[in-house]
Order: sequence, then C-alpha cells, then structure tokens
Amino acid sequence: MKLTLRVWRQDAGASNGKLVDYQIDNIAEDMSFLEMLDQLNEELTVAGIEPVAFDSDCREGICGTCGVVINGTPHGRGNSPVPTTTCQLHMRSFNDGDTIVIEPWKAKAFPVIKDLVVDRTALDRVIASGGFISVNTGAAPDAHSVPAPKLKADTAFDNATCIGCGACVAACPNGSAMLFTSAKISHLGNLPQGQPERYRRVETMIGQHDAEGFGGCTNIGECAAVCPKGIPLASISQLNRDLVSSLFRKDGFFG
Amino acid sequence: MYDVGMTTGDRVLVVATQLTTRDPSRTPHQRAARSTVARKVLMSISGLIIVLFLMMHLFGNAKLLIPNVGFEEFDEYSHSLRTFLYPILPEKFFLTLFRLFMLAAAFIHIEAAIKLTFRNKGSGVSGARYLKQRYLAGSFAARTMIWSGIIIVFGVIAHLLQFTCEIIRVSYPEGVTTVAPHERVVLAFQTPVVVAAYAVWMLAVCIHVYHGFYSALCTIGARTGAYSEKLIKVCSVIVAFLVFFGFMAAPLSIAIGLVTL
Repeated sequence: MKLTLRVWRQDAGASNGKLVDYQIDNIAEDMSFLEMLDQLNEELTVAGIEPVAFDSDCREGICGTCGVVINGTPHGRGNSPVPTTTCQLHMRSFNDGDTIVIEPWKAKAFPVIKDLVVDRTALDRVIASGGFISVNTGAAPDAHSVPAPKLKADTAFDNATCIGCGACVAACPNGSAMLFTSAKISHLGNLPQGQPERYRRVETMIGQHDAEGFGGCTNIGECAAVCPKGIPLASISQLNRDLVSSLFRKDGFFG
Repeated sequence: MYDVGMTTGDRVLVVATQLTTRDPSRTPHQRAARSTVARKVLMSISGLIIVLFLMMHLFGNAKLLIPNVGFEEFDEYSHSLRTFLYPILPEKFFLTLFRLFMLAAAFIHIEAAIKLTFRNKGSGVSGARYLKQRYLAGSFAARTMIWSGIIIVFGVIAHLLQFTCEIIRVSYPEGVTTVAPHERVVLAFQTPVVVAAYAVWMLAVCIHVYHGFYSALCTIGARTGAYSEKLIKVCSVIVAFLVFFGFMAAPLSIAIGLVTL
C-alpha cells in the first residue's frame, strides 16, 4: 500500500506548525495506524529527518494515551466502521494511493507540546477536582455488603469505561469536555459509594471544567460519535440533572 | 485561576495549573451557579417558553383561515389579547405583564447565547481548526444556531414594527395609518416580497427550533437513554415542521389568492 501522509509538524515551544507531506510505501493492510507511523519514523530517521512525535502506550485501545485527528475526525473514526482508538485503527480502513491528513487534538485547553503530542493534563485536573470517592481504606468489604441495583451498576460501568483520551474535546466544535466530565459524574453518581459527595462533585468538576477553558455543550453530538468507548450523550443529561439539583442544596452536599 | 504554564521562546501557554476548588474567591456552589451548564439551563427554559408562545401564536393565526367568518374571528381574537382579564384587572394589565414576561425570556435567552457563543468560539481553535473537518453527527442546524438566531432577532423586530406598531406599512391606502388586524395581514402578504421575506424568516425559526427544542430538552435532563433521545428528536422534527408550515399557511393562502379582502 502506497500512501501520502500530510502530517502536522510543530516544534516544541513553537506557537504554530504546518502540514508536511511524506510519501510512504510498503504498508500492509494489517498494520495498525501507529505501526504505520512507526515505519514512517524509521524511514525519517534513516533519512536524517526529525521523527514525528506522537503519544502511544498500550496499543490495545484501553489506555487512552494515543489519539490524533485523521482526515478531520479524531481517532480516524470517519474511516472506521466501528468506534475506535487510533491504535486500533488498521490500515485496511484506507485505500492504496490515499492521502491521509494527520493532525493533533486542537482545543484551547490542549496546548500542543510537539507535533502530534498535546498536553491533556486539563482533564486530570477536572478529575482531581472531584472525580473520586472518599472511603476509609483497609480490608476490602464483602461484595454484597453494599447493594447496587443492576441497571445503575451497568450505567456506572459503561461510563467508567471512559479512557480519557480527549477525542470528545477534539471533535467538539465548542472544544467542550462535557462528555468526559459527565462520564465520571454518571459513573460515580450511579453507585452507592458515590452518593455522599454526589452533588459536591458535580459542582467542583464543572467549576474546574469551565476554569480550564473548555467550552459549553450545545448538544451537537460529535463527541459521542467519535468516542472509542461509546459513552452516550445521555451521560451529559445526567450531569445537567445533577448540577441543577445541586444548586438547590446547601453547598452541594447530599441530603 | 490561570497561570503562565510554560514559557518557551515566543510562546506562552496559558493553562489552569491550579484546582479552582482551592481558589478561595468563590465557593464551588457559586462557581456551579455561574457555570456554562447553569447558563445553558436558563437558556433552555427561556427557549421552551418562547416555543410555547409560538404554539399559542400559531393557534391564533389559524383563525384567519376559518371560512367566511375568519376575519371577524381574527379581529376579535386580536382585540381580546389586549383586553384579556379586563374587568378583573385594569385594561391592558395582563397584556403588559405578558409582554414583560416574554421580553425577559428573550433577554435571558439572547444574553446566554452571546456569552456562551463567545466562550465556545474561543475554546476550540476557531476558524480553520483542522485541514478538513469531517462532521459525523452534528446537523447543519446544530452548528448554525447563532446565525439562525441572529436572523430571528431581526425578523422579530421587523414583525413587531409591521403588525404591532404599524410603522412599516405595506400597501396601506394613501394617508391611512391604522387598519384592522386582518387587513394588516392580507395587505402585507399580497406583496410577494413580504411573503418571501417571511419564508426566509420562518425557515430560520424552523431550523433554530429543530435543534433548539431537542437541545433544550436534553439540557434540562430529559435525555435519559437511547429511546428518550429518539423520542425527543421526533418531537423536535414535529415542532419544527409545525412552526414552518403553520406560520406559512396564512401568508401562502393570501399570496395565491385563497384568502382575499
């Protein structure tokens, strides 16, 4: 498979970058997108050109480290029939002779560090502001000691699968991290262990979300369309319900 | 709480390096009350009020299309809006109260729209964000809410100047400054330009309501799952079509000569 890659190159510390064309040949259709980039980097290194910086870790779609915008959609979702992470996108989704445009996540809250690597610590601070439960550590309690209704446990689990890759922010025309934030709100808010801090949590997390410079949600739905874990838009409605509810509680405390 | 995160060369990265929860200037509760989500909720509620008003307006307009007695019915309806609850309350008391209420709804809606739009445009990388952005889910209506909104505002101003204040007078007889309500409508829509202008305006309203009604219900939390999302979508399509065809029914009937003075 022979391809033309248009890759975003931006020096560390530079305020802007540009798209640079590279030709690449001998790409097998069973290669993952990141393996294709690995091959590009080897060829660039041999040719004496600085390799393209990109994030990756587990390469099995569970860690949320990788992520680039491929042909205008985060994780290349536009080329894939199923929700996917960049590492799980395979070259069989492309045709011989294609031109592939590869850009980093672009949002005000995600400054580019270098080439395709962006700083996503804003999401970490949103979690640190309230995306946790406070419990005494010690011996694990018996699994049946805290009953959780099946339906709620399922919703919590589905939302807990968010890997924090930031594709929702990259896809959102408003640069909003509402799907990411709502996944954590729905995850903890549906479990008994999450109840004591439920309304305080939504207040602190939304406060941090807005302070980071993320935009507001206008229910366009691009986020859920590119989410590799299928976090539903319904989570955002859950966040909204909890936030409105919190405004009628003294300092957001439960009860 | 913003800080200069990194200074390298000519570039300064501005990122929030602190948890706002540790910022003593506002409590988390105050911050939540001022958040984008709280503002969106206000925007949804005011928007839904305006949609309810449109439905009421639509019902009133339909009286014009009643065969034979349509004009009298319409004039009577139009007059009763001014004198509603009259012997109980002072004349025009309800009307003034209602106008203030609608004005407040419009003000809250527009103020939130302006604040959120400016914020959102700054949050992505506006303009040419990606070389070729490919949208997967969002509708045209969803991405152009602010533009359809701006068209609606100008339309409302022209509409009030024309039918309420009678400052814009279309095809009025020479020297006449006020005519009966049904004559205002019929005279205006016998002019093709006015019909075209209203069609454009109503298209903007239709597009705005199509996404707005859906978005408002989602924002106040009605989207609880895949089924309710579908239901809300269907309802918003029905409301959007009702708005367009309902409001264009009278102008079109007049334009093609089904209704004449």
